[in-house]
Amino acid sequence: MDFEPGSDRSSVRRRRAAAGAFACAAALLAAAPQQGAPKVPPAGQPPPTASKRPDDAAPVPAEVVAEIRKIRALYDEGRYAESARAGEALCKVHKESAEAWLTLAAVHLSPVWTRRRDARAESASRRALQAGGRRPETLQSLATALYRQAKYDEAEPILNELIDPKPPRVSGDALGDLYVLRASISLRRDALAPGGRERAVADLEAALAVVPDQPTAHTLRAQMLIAEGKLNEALSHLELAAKSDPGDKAVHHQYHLCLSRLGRRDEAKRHYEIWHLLNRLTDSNSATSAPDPKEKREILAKLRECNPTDWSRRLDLIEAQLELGEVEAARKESDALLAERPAWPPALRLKDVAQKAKAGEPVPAPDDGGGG
Amino acid sequence: MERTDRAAAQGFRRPSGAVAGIAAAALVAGAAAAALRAPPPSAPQAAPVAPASASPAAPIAPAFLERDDCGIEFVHQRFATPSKKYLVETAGSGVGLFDYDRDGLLDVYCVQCCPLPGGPANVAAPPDLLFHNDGRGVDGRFRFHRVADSVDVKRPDGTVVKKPLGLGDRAYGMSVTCPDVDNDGFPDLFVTNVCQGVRYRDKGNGVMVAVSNGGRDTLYRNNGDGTFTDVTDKSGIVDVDWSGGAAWADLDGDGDLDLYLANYAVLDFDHYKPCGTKERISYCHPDALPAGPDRLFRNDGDFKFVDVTKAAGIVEPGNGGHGLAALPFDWDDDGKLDLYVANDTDPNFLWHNVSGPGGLKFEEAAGSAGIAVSGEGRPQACMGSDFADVDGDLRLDLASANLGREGTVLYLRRDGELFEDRSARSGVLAPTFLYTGFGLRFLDYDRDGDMDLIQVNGHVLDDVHDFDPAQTFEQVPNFLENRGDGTFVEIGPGLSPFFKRADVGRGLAVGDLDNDGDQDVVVLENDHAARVLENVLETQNHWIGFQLVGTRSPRDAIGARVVLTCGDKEQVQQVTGSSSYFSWQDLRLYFGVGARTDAASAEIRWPSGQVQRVEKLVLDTCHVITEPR
Repeated sequence: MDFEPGSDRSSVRRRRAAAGAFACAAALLAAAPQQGAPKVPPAGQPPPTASKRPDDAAPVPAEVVAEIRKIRALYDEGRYAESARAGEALCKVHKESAEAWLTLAAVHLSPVWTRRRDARAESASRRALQAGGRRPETLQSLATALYRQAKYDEAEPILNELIDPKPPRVSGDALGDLYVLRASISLRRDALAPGGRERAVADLEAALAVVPDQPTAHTLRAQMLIAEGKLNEALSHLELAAKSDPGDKAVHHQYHLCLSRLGRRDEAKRHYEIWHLLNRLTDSNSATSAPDPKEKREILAKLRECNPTDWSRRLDLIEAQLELGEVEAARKESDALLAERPAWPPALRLKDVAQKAKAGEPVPAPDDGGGG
Repeated sequence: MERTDRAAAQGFRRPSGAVAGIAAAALVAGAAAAALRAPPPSAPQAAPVAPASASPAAPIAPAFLERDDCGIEFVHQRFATPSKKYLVETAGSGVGLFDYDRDGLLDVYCVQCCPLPGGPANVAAPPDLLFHNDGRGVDGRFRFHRVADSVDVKRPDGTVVKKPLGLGDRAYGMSVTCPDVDNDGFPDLFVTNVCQGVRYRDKGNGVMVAVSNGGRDTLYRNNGDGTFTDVTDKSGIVDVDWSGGAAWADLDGDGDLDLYLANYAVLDFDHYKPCGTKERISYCHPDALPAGPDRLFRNDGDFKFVDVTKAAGIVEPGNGGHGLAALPFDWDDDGKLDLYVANDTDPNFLWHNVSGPGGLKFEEAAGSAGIAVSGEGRPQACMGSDFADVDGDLRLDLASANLGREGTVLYLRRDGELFEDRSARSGVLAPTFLYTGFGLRFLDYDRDGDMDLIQVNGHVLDDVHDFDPAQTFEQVPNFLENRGDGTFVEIGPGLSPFFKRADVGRGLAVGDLDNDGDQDVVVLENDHAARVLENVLETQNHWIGFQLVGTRSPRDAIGARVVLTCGDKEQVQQVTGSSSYFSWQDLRLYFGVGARTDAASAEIRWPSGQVQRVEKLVLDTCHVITEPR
């Protein structure tokens, strides 16, 4: 699947690729001498950031490369639990492979897999660190895992190590993401410390200079502006964030707070409803509390109505319909989606599945969500 | 208006001279003992730096004396089962402060747990215990004794007979609340439990009887003679889920207290699936257990309740909420009490009371109010909670304790009906960040006219240190001093050795145990003796107290709001009862007024809607104010 540039990049990226995380593994893989495998990043990945393996590093075995590609493919299909299990199996066999560990970490750094384990992402990143040294990709993975667990004291020095050198040790989207993580830490931990907020603002501005449509940077900047009562200024950041990633619940939460303070209650309520639906989809980390397929389909159908440009949730809706055997509805929905986004590969793929299902072919079983 | 002259006669001033010397010596000894103990492996993140404009911090004077000798001999037991690790084992229990015999002194009720399936066999379930406040002993300090299972009751003819106390719940206890359910002046008792396999049978006359010996929630009527009667079966309070906190408030405006039951989860011991791995069983994430639907019971008088949950619109959104605390307050100032429910890992609820002539009706509005989730939009593990005006704008703010690496959340009330998450900028987040907080309560411990914050901590995972070296199972408590502007700084270690010692704190209640005008504290910790902290702060600051007695409102006046004016200072407080975690608080309101000696007055907004003004309030006195009929 290719990633399209444009306003929905983040949304698609978030759903399908966990680009940042897999980019780490891909970059490591690309820089590694491989046995019998071309140095090509997995499908859809941007060119990896330059990073050098130690000259004496052992070449990556071909079977590791092949297995990583499989894991990546499973992940791209939304089969997160299976990809995590495959990652565990790979690491069990290739304990000394930084690439294997980083791939496992990448799965557990998924922004969309509700049953991911941030602690596993951390431990896998640490193993990658042991196996491959302090490479930028590994440090990025570790810093992200630490941040996800609110281990700010440990994450911050790593972020500094990556960001502060001139030039920074990472670039592009990755650098933007890391600036945002550090700004978020400043906002939470150093809110009362002298210069804490100024540091956060500087990092957010740096993130936006690197990646002008970085949605989280816009959202955090809006959050700060709301706290300062600069509501209209905050709104302009939120508009940019929503355009960049309409499926990010944090954007809708800040929208809700900002519009509420502006007295625009109905609009605020709509954004809260979107936040609530997104939260219901993503916040349960166990099968017991997660929405069942019917509820999931209902939530996604509501989201389609109130947040129609969240393309990745539109894909989820089609998948949910297929899971429930609502083949005709799935086909219609994929047609509708393709009318708005002509020739979009994931929509085409799902339309194909729906058509085959109508012809009697079985729909692939859904991921069980757990494992890993 | 009448004054509590009896209390004044007992002497509100703190002991001085020799007694104070003993207190100081004990504090020093305690500090030395604490210094010998190993510190927790990792200190929390540094307390926030004071804003540049703040004046240098004054030395912290010792304020709380640990009273292991006061007679509250209660050791909480959670009955951990290493092979099962039921989630309930992490919850702990609450403590209630109430004057059950109306002798003017707060008594103490401690909730206990019981053995669980899979635990050691043939272990007897210990009962909850009631401790009577005997007032000051010869050393000038308060004393308690355990109330026996059988008590002397004086008959009208003067003869004395032995009667059973009528308490002694032996289920797996969670919370205690002590509302005056029938407005007879004697506080009753309601204990929530983990309802282990309880099933109810309708006897045919509307009376529901628990047919197993599991731990149903239990309502006790205070008979007014020092004994209690279990009236659960005829009360109509039927609940089979694992209950957390309970809130009592007059939600329908009929003058009695209705019951909101914050249920945590649906728990089935027979089919409990341990979490973790084969090698290491671990306590489950709350999501592993379905949320228990909360319940609303309307009080129809004479200890009869009707479940109106669905009819009243208490339909929890999404997958519901793992409820731990419920607090009434009037969110939109419309004269009807609303309910805040703190949920563990799920968005919190704010049940907006839109009841009309048709009966009780609620709409969920936590999102609209900005208190469903953190300011960043994340649901948190909200546990103990409390309201207080921390920034002096005469609007009630809200705090909820959270899991380690979330930090306590402080929502400041803003314009209109919105709250704003100010946890970080208020200085509350940093000192609480690595701690898992449970009992949490605002109090003005030094009577300087602003509300400080006490929080007891202890992680839910007994092996958390293996996963996160910065966190420990046993954790030190927090005491955050309000700088007067709604920003806080940690001062606990200077107040008492208690705040240097790591334990697993859960229930926490604050009240004036010795009627000296300051706030004492009782804490329950998992698998530990109850902690009693006597406030012994030497201060010249003055105070004004209120004991509100409702007439058209419920006698307990829960939800009443008092705005006190003393000189240039205005403050607001609300009667709540069910603040903190699983615990019941002193219903009296205590305002510190600092060094002010100006004439003081107050405006009281009763739950009935009446507004009453009282003038010429006497300093350093607890005033009993009865609602005009």
